[in-house]
Amino acid sequence: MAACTHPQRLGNLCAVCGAVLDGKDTTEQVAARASSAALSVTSKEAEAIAGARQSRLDTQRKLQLVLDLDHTLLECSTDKRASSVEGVVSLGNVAGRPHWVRLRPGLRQFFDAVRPLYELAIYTHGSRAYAAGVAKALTEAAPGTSFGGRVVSRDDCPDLRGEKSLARLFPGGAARALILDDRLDVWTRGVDQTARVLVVQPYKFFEHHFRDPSRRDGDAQLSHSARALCAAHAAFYPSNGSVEDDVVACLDRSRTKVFAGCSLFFAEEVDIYAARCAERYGARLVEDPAEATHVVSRQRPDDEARWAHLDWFWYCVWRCRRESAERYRPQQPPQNGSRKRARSPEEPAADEDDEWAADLEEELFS
Amino acid sequence: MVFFYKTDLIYEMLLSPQYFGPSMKTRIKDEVNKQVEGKCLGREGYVIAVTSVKDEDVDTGVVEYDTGCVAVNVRYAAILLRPFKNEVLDAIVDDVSELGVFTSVGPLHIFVSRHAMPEDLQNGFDADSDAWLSDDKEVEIKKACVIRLRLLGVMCDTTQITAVGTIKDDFLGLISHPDNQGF
Repeated sequence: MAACTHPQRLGNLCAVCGAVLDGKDTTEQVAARASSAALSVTSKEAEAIAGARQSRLDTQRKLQLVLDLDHTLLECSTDKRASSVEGVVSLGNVAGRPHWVRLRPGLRQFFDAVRPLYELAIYTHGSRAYAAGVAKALTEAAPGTSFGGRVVSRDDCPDLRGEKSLARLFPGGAARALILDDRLDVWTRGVDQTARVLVVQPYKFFEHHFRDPSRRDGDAQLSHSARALCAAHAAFYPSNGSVEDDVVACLDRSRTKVFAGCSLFFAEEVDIYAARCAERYGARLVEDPAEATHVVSRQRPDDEARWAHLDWFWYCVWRCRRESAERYRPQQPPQNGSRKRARSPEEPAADEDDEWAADLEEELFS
Repeated sequence: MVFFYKTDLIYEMLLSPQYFGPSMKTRIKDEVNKQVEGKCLGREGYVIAVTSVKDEDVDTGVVEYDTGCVAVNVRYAAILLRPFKNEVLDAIVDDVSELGVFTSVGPLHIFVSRHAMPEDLQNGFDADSDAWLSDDKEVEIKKACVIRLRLLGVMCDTTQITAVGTIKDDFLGLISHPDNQGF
């Protein structure tokens, strides 16, 4: 069979002329979107599409925002107790089980703020049915929000094994895209994805609610994220009508202020994501505690004046602003040598840190 | 060129000993309906509906020594859907993207690339309304539209049939629009 050089193909079929392509064909292909069969395009076609997308965004003066669902915009539970909790939305049966979601506080205000500035997309590890159900719930909670066809679920990329790839959503590159996610470790694939992630505090409403139903849900993460995203958009499309070319640099402009002038020393071992975040948010990492302006540790060090709790560090990152270090110091010194962690008045993310570290270790050493 | 056709097929099934008894044949028939309808049988196409499983069509089974299960061959008649290249059919739009349009006819999914659209649609993807618009804005193809397409290629796997179509020809394209029923 004659070689077919058309730009798109679905599985082994050329999508333009319908020719069956054998495995020997080696035209370079970029995976685009897997639905029932894998759709792929040539890199030239991907470039053309990316170019059209970019000029469209520039005329609208919009950026793209890729949203994670679980623990970022909401928390989902299959626990029956969730059905009776106030403010919980039922998704009905997904994959044969009833699902309930609790939308993060401030969701509507968040969408109202970013909708005029960003073209929204969803990227979730959930199934396609779940993604569709949640997208509907989000549209109802924040009227006027549209995700269009830009919803990617794990069914669309079975080959990525739990990692996320922007290229799957935007073939040909996503120069105008930022990501909102509670996890950095899923975005390590590809060269420049990690820098685009604006990290949020993992939203774990049910975990706390079932333990203590009287606990108030005072989460304000989305307002902080919206502020950072609006600032990035304003930097990218300044009011004089010009256009910047690096969206990451625009986000960094506000991010680097967070720890500007700080030299951090991590007294305890932290995972690589903490270190990456520290540098991304403007801090200098030092080897010697004597040089540090902040000694980051869960344990109370000898030199208390420069002590900053690890929670302080993460809250600064999540909120994209410098918090007061005193606020995050536990009142009572934890017992020496015990593994019990000091708990600040708000929940620290200690458990997530451990998870991230474990995931990375696996990645590095396997 | 046949899109739907009726044929006789054989289904081999293993019946566990717990179902042996007076209602065994009913059980077998139910099982055939449940297991076969909606399935893709490779080259034969998709089973749309099992029309009949007669009592006399159920062969005498053979007991398997290891498990105690009975292997039975069941003959049944079914309506199948088998798409062919160059066939013209009406499909519902499930999803649109900047690459093209994803459509379906019952269990069959058909992709229409933007390169298989008329010239005036090819560059008309509109992300705001999530639709393909023609240059003169007369034609809008979006989710839930019905479009008439011709199959360009069909590929049969054991578990699914992959198909691509085109709307770049006379009399092909938009048939009905969800906001504009019945024109």
